Amino acid sequence: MRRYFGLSLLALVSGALLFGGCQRASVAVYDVPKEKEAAPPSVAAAPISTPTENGRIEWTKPAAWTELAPTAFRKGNYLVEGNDGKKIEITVSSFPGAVGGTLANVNRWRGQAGLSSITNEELSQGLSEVRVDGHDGQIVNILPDSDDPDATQIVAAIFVYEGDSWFFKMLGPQQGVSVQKPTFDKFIDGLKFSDAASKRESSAASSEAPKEAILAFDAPEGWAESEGSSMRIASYEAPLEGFEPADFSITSFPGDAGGITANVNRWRQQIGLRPWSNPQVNSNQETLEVGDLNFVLFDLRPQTDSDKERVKERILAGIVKHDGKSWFYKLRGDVFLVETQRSKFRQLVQSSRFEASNSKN
Amino acid sequence: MKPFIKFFSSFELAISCMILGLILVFIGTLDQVNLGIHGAVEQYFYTFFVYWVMPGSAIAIPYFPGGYTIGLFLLVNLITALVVRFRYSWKKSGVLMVHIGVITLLVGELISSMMQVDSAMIIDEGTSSNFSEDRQVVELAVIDHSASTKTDRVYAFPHEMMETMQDCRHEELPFKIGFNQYMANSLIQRRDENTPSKALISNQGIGLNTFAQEIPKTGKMDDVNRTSAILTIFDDSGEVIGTWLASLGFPPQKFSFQGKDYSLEIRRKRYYYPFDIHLNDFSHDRYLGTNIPMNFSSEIELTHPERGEKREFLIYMNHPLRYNGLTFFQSGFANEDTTTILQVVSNPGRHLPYLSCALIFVGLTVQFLIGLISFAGRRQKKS
Repeated sequence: MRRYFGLSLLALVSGALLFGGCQRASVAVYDVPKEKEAAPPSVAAAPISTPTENGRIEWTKPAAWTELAPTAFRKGNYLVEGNDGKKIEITVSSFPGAVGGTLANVNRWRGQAGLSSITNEELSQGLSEVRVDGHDGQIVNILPDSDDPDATQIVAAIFVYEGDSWFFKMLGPQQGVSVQKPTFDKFIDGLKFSDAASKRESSAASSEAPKEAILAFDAPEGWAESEGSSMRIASYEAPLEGFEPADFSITSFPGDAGGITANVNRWRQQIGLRPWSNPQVNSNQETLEVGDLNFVLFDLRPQTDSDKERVKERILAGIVKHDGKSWFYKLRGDVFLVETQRSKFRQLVQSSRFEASNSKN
Repeated sequence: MKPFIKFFSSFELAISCMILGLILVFIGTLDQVNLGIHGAVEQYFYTFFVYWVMPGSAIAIPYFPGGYTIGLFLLVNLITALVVRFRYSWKKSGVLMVHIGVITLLVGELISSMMQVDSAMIIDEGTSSNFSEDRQVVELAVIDHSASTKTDRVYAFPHEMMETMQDCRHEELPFKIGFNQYMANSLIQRRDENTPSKALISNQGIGLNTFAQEIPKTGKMDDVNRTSAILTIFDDSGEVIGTWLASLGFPPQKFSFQGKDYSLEIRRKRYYYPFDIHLNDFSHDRYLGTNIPMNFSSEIELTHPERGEKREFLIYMNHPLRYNGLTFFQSGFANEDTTTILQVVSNPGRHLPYLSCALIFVGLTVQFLIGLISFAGRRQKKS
């Protein structure tokens, strides 16, 4: 009896454990009635800013400022050196909505300048109203706590215009910023809002707006244009008898699109290779200067014996940054086929150039 | 007796387990201040070991037995002792019942810890719902909107696949989903010039304007773990369709592929039921002249088409609805008292604690009475 009792108890406990432990996660598939669409949050509806979208507020660059390439978030990007050679940065950016309001933005900038946050009451001390081209804005002057000439000072103008918040910001050592302040004030005074600008038939400022350059290159002999997706700028097939043709594509995204490591690892993941660490990415990259373009090239192929068994594909990739965007060149196909196309891939990369008009082959 | 059996049936092991259990409950309760209830339960009780994580690293060193270890040792000890050491006789029937009661309690807690599902059903007045959402667990849902004109087909990938960054694929889907990053808890921020470049990899949907910053997971009752993931969708040939940022709380993000409309979202795991609950009315009574709640209740109608059932119930505080193995508690309300939140609990082991308490009570009573009768008998004999 004792034995049966003990066995029954053990069976009960083991059963409970097994039943609980054996529940495996699996994909559930089911049909549900169509749901009413929820209104997406404003952030989802907000369009992405691109460097070529500016135009609603226009400005004229002071002669002393050096223009830098705009980025995904900087519609205007300038640099000026102070008397001591220290750099002062002037940026123009705009975001949909109030972006948290003036206090939140001022406190964010104070954080950048290493200062503590302030309250709404304290905000008014460094804030002044300004009227430019018939539109009201605010000027904020964030002074450092100390007299150190290298301590960071920020002067910024904020305009809310047609639902967007525009930020014109100068940041640098207080000695240099105080010297540049009159130039910055003049720069702000010269802003033209699009309703005012549109009345003028020919605007000198608008003629200075940067035009988007078009990527041009020479397609290698033997490559045939292929049907690509809407995301591709160029799409080709590199054929070799007995093999599925290798696929070549060029795509472009604003900014650095996640950086080199993230993109290289996304491609490695595509063909089943393990991701690389940052040092591995750095040690496996080759740089190639093509005119004023600096390409970073990668050859992603199975290298270890186990990878060679498993992975049968290879990717040749090139990344170049130009005009605030990243451009990705990619040739993907069978390991051997890609090897035969290496020189053609390089030849295509070396023929790349940005032109004012469309001259793509 | 073999040393192994001797060890597991020893009284010393039982006492050690109880002392360790006391210490565990003490430190786990204190740490609730930092971890919250769920965090403390996970870190101290529903685990084999309590770990200390070396600051600034992912190295976890076990320093104390967890609830599972102590509970299992105690369970094995009680069973072994009953089998090996216990002398069965009517005089000890009460002690036997107490032992079985404690074993039932331990088994019940084990079943609850592994199989209890706690979810919430949110219903607006005048509407119905046939699903509840898990309070802790999330899933990645890919929804095919082109499946039919009246229904959508949902492919729900479990959170384990996201946590381990496994590729999500299903034979009916013409693409697979790979993970670039998984964040158990995150803070969503608007992209600006200070956004870390790693977060800029998203090139589709809401991730074009926002990014997720990983923050430590919370176990506190009032805090939500905002799970986020950066995921890339590849077609059958391995071509990238796009990279999205998905986060709990984001609306479904739509995309088209091969002429079909899909959407993807990270959402709370959903449990669908074969019945509907319709909220007829929600009442929130307050003490006169104050905002202090006196009572809140949901007047519901339950329809089970397969069983041909249609019944009305009133769910209010301490009066849950028990139906189909589920218990519906009145848990909360929202939208100016026009939405009810019902806590839905499914626990196959829910009867075991009652059985255990009854066994222990009866066992102690029987043992006391046996002792009393025996004592009275001896006394009578003496006199």
